[in-house]
Amino acid sequence: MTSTTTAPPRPFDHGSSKGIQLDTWLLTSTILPILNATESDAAQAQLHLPLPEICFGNNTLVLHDSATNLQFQWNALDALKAVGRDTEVKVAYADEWARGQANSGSADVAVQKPFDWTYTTVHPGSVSLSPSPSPTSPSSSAPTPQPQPPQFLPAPPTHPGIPLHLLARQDIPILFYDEIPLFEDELGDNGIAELVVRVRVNSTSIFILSRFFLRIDNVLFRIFDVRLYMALGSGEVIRESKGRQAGYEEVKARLPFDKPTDLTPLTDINWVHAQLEALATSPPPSAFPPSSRPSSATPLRHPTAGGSTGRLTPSASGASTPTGRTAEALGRMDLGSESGGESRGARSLPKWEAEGVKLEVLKLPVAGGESN
Amino acid sequence: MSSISSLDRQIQQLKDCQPISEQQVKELCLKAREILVEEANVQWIDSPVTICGDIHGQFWDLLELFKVGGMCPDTNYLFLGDYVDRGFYSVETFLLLLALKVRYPDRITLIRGNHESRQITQVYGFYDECLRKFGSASVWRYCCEVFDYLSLGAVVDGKVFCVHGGLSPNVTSLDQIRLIDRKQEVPHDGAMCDLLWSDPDDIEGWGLSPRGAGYLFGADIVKTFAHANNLDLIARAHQLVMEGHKLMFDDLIVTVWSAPNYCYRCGNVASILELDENLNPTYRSFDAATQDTRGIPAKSTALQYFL
Repeated sequence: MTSTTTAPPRPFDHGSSKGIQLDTWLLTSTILPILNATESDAAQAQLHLPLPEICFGNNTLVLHDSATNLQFQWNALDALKAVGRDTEVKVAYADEWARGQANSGSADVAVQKPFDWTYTTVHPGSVSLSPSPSPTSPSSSAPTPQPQPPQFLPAPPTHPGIPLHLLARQDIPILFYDEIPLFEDELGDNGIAELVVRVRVNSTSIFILSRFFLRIDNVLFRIFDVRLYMALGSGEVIRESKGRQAGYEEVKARLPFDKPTDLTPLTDINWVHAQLEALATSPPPSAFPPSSRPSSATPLRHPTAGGSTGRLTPSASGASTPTGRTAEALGRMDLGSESGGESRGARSLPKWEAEGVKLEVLKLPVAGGESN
Repeated sequence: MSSISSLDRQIQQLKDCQPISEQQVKELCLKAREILVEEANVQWIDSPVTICGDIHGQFWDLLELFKVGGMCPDTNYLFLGDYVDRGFYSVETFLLLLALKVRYPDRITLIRGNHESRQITQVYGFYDECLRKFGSASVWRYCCEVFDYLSLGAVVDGKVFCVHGGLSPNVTSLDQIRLIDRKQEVPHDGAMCDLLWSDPDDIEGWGLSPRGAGYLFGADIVKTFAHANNLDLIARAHQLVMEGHKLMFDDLIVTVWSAPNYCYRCGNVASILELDENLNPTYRSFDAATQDTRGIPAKSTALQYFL
């Protein structure tokens, strides 16, 4: 598959920066302390957003291909640019708090600088064309006009997707692994919002997972995953984006039977991820009006309270399993079309456009006769 | 006398990061409550004093703090709360500070942070740690009873107001804080809640947190409060700052943060604020202890095979 001139993979470690050279691909991760006061002020002014409490604004993951000059990059500030200006989500005791506020004579105090305090971001990573691997500072990305990079396009229905069955094989050695935290906010001790990018490289492929995780205690869970996969010689980069959310009580109801009061699993991202996946892909007891577009991912909409009764789940007939995908994964993410959520007394889950699965492919430009 | 020598032994044991027995914790907490119940909601402190921000169970870093600031009772300390949660040694951290409080009540003041709460500690680590280290929730319960007795603030020489979070729209004078019945779990709203939770921000007047609960306050609020109460400075903690401390609003309010390399990965420095007998401030910064990596569980290589 790969060119016969391929040099052996070369991992390197320069302290705060490390990475690996794999064929024409150079992967570099940089891990540094959180932003200092000067950097924070600058970033805040640029983003018009209060930064997350823990902001690793100097951390980056850069994947650069010297054959095509194509570059993929993840950093906190690019991700935070995708955070919304506002949200309808409130902490669990917001109503109670508002009543107390009204009674205390400070009822006229209002939100002065609204923003999506959950820091929900669906940023898929930045794609650019760059002659050399450069962790381009987001603040200086504007000036020089750069050629347009090739685009990710929706994958054809026949596309097999990311070969997770291969990635699951623990007999294939990992030559490079790293975990790059980008930001974290404890939401004023109401839960956690965090964005972490992980990468692993074996002798034939590079796999990157960018995961946004949100837990708001007694309100909801949300995960947005972006998986990027590149197999040497395949001529393409595969990108899968997946948004999931569910009510806090709904996930809590799935705690192990033998330890229903031990809430520790709720802080275990992998456990929560499995529950969100199960909730999204298991058929509901009640029927859901089929989507008008069979290829589209159907958003979830569940009332938070009262466990799973009345929960609406996607119309997708098949589960999106680790090894394969279904029609569910093919379409673009739809806007939620439901108008329900009228659970009395309980706050319903907010509308979130990113729910569902999206599979895209970027065809690598043919360069130097390297690709087959 | 025997109780003092026994207490000294416990302090030594805790300084070695060894927890004391459940029975000893029970007795220590009882004695601490007897002392704390006599303290005011806003405790009066004489200078000189060294003011410390959040510790969050980073025990080895607390020992670094004592290396930089001097040991109690040689140094007079004021801790602004958030002793527990997040770090791996909340038990040893809080019990050491509490033992010092019982041993030297006039040389160390502990006020309450928003983490000194039953509800918060059940989510952010202290409860689990007690369960893991003692096999039951009793120690957690004894500690929570102490939390309820901690003062809500302190004032140094009548000129420096010290609090964990910040101001409250329901509090315009220090005397109003003195009227609060503090011996309870931290409520979800009201003045007591605000003092432990609110944050300064670059706004005018009072703002509501976009989260739907909690207040933000601007420079004008701080100036008015300082003027009305004849204060030179407001010292608070509660927010992580990379440099260990951050002055705002014409140096009228300062955030002091005393947990270096917070959560063992933020890379921040910590600082303490020393006020001399003329209330002249000196900020001393310090880095994380190297030993602290001992408590961090190693990551399994299986994690590398993430999907």
